[in-house]
Amino acid sequence: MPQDTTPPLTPELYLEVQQFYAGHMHAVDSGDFETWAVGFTEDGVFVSNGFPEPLAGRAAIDAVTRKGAAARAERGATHRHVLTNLDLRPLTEHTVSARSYVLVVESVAGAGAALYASTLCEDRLVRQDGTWRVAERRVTRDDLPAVDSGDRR
Amino acid sequence: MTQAASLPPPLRLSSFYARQALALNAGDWDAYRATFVPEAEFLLAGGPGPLRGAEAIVAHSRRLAEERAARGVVQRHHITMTAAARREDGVLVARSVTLVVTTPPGGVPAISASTVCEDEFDDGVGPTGPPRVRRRRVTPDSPRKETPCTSDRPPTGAG
Repeated sequence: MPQDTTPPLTPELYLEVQQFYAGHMHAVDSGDFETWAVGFTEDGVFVSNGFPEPLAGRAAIDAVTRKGAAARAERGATHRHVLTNLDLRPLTEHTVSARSYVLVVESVAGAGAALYASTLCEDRLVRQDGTWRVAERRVTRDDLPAVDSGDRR
Repeated sequence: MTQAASLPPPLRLSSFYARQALALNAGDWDAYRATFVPEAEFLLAGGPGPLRGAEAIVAHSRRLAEERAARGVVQRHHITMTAAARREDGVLVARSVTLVVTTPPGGVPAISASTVCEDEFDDGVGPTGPPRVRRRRVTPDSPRKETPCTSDRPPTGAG
């Protein structure tokens, strides 16, 4: 593949990334925090208008995720992350820009299920050790003021 | 858009719809307009009649988007279950379920519309070119009125 051109979006790449997201979201929803955490690079950054400040590094992301899960468990709530509208733009052979919508569905025992959050997820993914990882994630929750105009590009 | 050209039709359309919805919901009107052929037709079943032309389609969506923005409401179109087929006359067609999720400022998101979106594509620029919609028919499962809307047309679930 020539170094100076953007690689094509191939079916293999699209499906690989789609499967990465499926496994990544299943992991966090089922409490497999190890798998979720290695879905980020060691120095991965997670920015969201739902966080007071950016989470820098896999360890910080892991800690906040576990804290959130413990709080949900306490009130008997289960979250499912449902990802749609996956748009990929390969940047290099090992880097992809990915945009998607993620709906968070919350179920509470005895109280049914409802949408909890509607979000825009903008990731920069890198291929490391034969797997995809999030190097940068920017999540915009629709119910909160947007931090910047990422949605408008 | 051209990067998706190397995908086979079903993935090409999934990728196309993702970009179209992202452009529409982000108010990226140039990108949204480019997903339709200039003479495209957009029919909302139960509505007053088709919107004719990409400009009219964009103007309609833009007006509704600006009304929502003024209220701080965010809308997202989740285009899923895309079934692509090649009609007997060779035209690429697709049918999808579009869930419209609307979130008020500081509030809880809800599915404000469930619709079936049927598209005819103009992929005449070549089998590897970016698809563009030539004809769209959106059928809401439950025709409804959206809150304060001064549009002279009924609000569309997927427009």
